[in-house]
Amino acid sequence: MQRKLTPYILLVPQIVLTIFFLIGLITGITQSLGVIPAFGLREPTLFYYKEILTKPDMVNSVLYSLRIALFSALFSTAAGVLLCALLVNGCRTKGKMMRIVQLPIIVPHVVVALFAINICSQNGLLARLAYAFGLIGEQQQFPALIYDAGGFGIILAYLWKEIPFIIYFVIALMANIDGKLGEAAVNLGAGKVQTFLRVTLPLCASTISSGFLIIFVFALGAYELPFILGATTPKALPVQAYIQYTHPDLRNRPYAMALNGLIIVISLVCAGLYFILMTRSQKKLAGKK
Amino acid sequence: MSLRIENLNVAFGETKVLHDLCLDIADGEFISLLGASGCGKSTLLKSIAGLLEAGTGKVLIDGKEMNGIQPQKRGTVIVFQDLRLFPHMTAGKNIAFPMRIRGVQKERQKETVSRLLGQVQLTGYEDRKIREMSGGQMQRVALARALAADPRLLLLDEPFSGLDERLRAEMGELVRKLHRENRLTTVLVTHDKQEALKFSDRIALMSGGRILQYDTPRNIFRHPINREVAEYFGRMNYIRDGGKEIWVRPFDLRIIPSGEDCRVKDIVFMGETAEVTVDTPGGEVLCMMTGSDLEALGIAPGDPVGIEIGRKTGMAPAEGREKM
Repeated sequence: MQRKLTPYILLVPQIVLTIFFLIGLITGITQSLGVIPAFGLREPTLFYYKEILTKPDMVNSVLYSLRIALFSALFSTAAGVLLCALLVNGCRTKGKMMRIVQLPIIVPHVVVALFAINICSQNGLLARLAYAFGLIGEQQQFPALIYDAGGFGIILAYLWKEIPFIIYFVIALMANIDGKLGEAAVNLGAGKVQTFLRVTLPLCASTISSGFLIIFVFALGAYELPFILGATTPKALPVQAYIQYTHPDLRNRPYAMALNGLIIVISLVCAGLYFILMTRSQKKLAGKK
Repeated sequence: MSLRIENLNVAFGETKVLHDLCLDIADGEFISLLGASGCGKSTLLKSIAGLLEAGTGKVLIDGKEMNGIQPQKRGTVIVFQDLRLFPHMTAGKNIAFPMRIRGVQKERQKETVSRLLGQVQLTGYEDRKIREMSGGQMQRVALARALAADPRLLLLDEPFSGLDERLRAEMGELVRKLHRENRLTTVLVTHDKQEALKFSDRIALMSGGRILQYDTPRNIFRHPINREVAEYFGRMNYIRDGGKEIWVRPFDLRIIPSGEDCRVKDIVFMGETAEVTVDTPGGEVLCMMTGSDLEALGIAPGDPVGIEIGRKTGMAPAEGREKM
């Protein structure tokens, strides 16, 4: 009897956490549909979703966030895979080099934001160096790398954090494929580039895509970097949601929840894709039907 | 093509795997590298293929030194123990891979894939996914893929180790056939002595990163240079005869029912064959015979018998090679 119950008892912490998560999720979705009885909002409506998808400042926020998330994920993945290939090719997939690569992963995003300000702002280290070498006459001449409407500073900070993440996420698989199937390809006459493009990359594709999705979803929903390094306008989705949530008029709260709802929908689609990709990757590598 | 290895040394860190290894393989020969796991067979194969850098020594293919030459330019192809078929490609695409790399025209690729699949008895399997194939079929695809690379030297790294006995024999025959038909020079790594004796022109028996003996199957079995080689290929009786020792295989001893100086100690009947242990004045010896010969002899434990040595000339160790 006790044996039968053991798996369920072990699952209790997970179940409790899931219940709390679901309560929060359901409350958020309910509020995004304009139902907050305490504020006198009782009728369910899609008005707030329509608003965030049509009001210019809200639409700009959505596009701004999607752009930052897309570019961060895209460039991180491309650079991460390239560096990963170089590390695998140089047989540096373990030891000191990997510890150095992993270092940025454990640095909090807030600290990365401070690095970015100290290095990339118009009175940061780069600007001072440019001034010292006579490249600029005054600090205003240094390009606005952060607080810019294009989100360049935010993307730069994400790259610093997420390129190592992609390397960490992909390198074990890539090293394994390269060590066995890559060796087989070389043995059959392929050069290193051909081996990478025809064997290693296709077999890592699902894992690389999964890494891309993780960064995309994270960058879409993360608050710190857009808040610290972002421009006054447009504001990223999570920043906009926070502003609406803390708005003095409590009846603005459904806007915050609708913005969160949008992030949740995109995240769920990505989670579904992630699941499909990982299942496919496992099947491909294990050679199962 | 011919292969010559001169004083090859390979080490992994501090551990030396191959020690001053020398080997000569003539064009068109089928050679087996035989030895226990960890003796350096696969390391030697990878060094020949250029997948491992030699420490010191030379690998010469057709007289040309291969040190520093990239694997894809050596004309050697390994069929790995774990086959390493590309799981994201069909059988046909796996076989076509070396040709795609070389930029062979698609029509010719198709023809060659079809021909090779025929050679390995898998006609019509072009579009079959690797994961939908049995172990034996995958072995055949791996062989066909290796042949598609047009190798001058085919290196087989225990490719049949995962197969059952019947399939092993079948695959062995197939490899021998492909070797003849494609006029290849082939090196087979194996730890199965029967496989090596059956298929090879010459056998190199390895131990501890060295070649103990390199000879024809008949010679290595009949004239082993030391006890280690002798015992690798089967059991051996060491019979003292005056001041010297004679080596005799159990099958080369004949039991004579009329003798009196020896006595049957034990009989183990194994169907087709039987083992008879006999106490002799010089010590215990083991005789092997067919099951029907045992029945015809009609002996039982405790019976007095005589022993006749059928073949011993070739079994004595060469003088000065090993003291026993």
